[in-house]
Amino acid sequence: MPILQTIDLHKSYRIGSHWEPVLMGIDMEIEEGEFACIVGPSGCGKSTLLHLLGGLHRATSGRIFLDGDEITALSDAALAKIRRNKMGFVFQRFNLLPTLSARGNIEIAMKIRGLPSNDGVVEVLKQMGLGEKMRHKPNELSIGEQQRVAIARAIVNKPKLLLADEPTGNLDSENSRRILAEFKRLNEEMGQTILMITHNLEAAAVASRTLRMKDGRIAED
Amino acid sequence: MSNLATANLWHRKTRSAISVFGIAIGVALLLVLKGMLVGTIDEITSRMKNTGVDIYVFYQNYDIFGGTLKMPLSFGEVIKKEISSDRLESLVPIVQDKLGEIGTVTQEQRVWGVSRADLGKLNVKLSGGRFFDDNKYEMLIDSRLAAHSGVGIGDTVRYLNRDWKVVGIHDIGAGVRVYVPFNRLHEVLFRGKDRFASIFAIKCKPGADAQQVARDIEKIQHKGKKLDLLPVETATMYETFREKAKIIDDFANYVTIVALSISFLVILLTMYTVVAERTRDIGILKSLGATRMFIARAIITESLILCVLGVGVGAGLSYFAAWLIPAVSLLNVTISPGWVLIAAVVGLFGGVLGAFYPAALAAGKDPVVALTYE
Repeated sequence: MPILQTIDLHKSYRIGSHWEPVLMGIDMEIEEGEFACIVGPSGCGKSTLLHLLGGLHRATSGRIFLDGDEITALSDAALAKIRRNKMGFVFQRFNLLPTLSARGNIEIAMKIRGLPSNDGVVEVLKQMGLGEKMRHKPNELSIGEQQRVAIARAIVNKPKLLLADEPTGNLDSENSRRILAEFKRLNEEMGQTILMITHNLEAAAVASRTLRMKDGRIAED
Repeated sequence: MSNLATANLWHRKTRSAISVFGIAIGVALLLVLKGMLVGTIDEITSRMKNTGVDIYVFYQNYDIFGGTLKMPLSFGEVIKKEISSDRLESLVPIVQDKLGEIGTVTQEQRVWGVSRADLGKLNVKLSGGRFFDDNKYEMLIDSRLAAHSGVGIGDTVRYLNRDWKVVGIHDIGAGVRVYVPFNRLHEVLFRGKDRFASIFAIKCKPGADAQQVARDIEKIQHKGKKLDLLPVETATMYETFREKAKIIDDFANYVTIVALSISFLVILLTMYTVVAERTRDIGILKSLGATRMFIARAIITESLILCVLGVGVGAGLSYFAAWLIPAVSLLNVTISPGWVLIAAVVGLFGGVLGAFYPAALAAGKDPVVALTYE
């Protein structure tokens, strides 16, 4: 059974008096332990798809199944529960809380999940090569380090699915390589299921499967 | 949760400090004004009790802080006649007035006109100089008034278009701060043949029931007409004065509402700004799976910390004011723990109330819109 499945997924946004379709019937399946990548030009609907899969937005129509549960019909509170228990997000802009240290950013994810805040936080930071910078605030870290903190935060809860939205989009080539290597290691060594969205074909090459999007549809798998 | 809240507050130190100060002002306003009311009444009551007098007899609608109160001096004789001599030790007629300014002190002072012979009956004790002469325009002031006004023995005080010479300094705490001869004050205030008094100060004999004496005085009739005397026992004077000062109490209650509103507005504005500024952070928390409740709690926790600090600083400021105000003026401020508790509840309640709308606003944000907020 796939860990993630979408059936005829549509999303439209209202612009003035008419509805602008962004996703027009997405059907896809991601297997557990897979490292899949969705590529496509800007504006093709990649980020919208990721937001729907992550339960951050609601589809106009269609169905999404995560780990066997349909999430399209869930309440906001139930979606929040899915996000904290089964998903991890890595964003292009890192999205770290600026007032908390690297460690605090990870602990807050633990707290939201209702877990003891010191449970495995140091280990995951060390795993990301940030053992010496646990007390640093985001603005005291390099961009590569910030993204590694974001990855540490995303995986600390051992999510079923890691969703990454252009994770190397703000990084230089050196840091991009390092982050992609980290994703590959997580997938290969820990069996982490990853769905990454990017417009960078070099980044996509790291994944074991590539889906191409065009004009709101999966054009190639 | 508290880590996130404290980290956020620490991140914006100046704004947090201003918010704390805003709440502190509200709390201090409440405590100091209430403290001044209680302190003033406490002090007056205490001085009235220190005279050793059991009952003060006022006339009709007297005013505790007020000036000239006038009833026929002959009422004193009626009281003496109606209350048997085995219960009455002494009855001192007093003329009461107000002195607007003395030296550098512009705060009004109550003045009692008392006969030289009666000063001892009111426990007035000299710490310097001599007692006044009943026939001269002479004055006694207490040591605290002397210290604050810069007026001392030998100085002249202009009062009721007369020059009164300060001839003695009396110990603080008995009756009023300013004493002048009964005859001289009477002559200036009540021109004409009729004799008046403002208050009769009565001491009961040991063993006499002062409460019963007061009740009997209240009932006195003369020539078939009730005298309208208002006896106030020193034992219940505080409550009586509080009742008389109800308008000020009402004022203090309005101040409570103002303090509550200040806390409410300070927190509302602060947390509203916080929510607008941290829209992106709220999106991040939502992407991590935070519930609406978690986010609302984070905002309310932040406001609670501000309120607790504000209440603490406000209480500290109030205690400082309670020390400073009497040191530089003749006002007294009594900060009671009960009112600190009320101020704390008012501050916290106002603050939390003010955080509800921003908290609801934060909790209801669309996560994607919040995450892309610039």
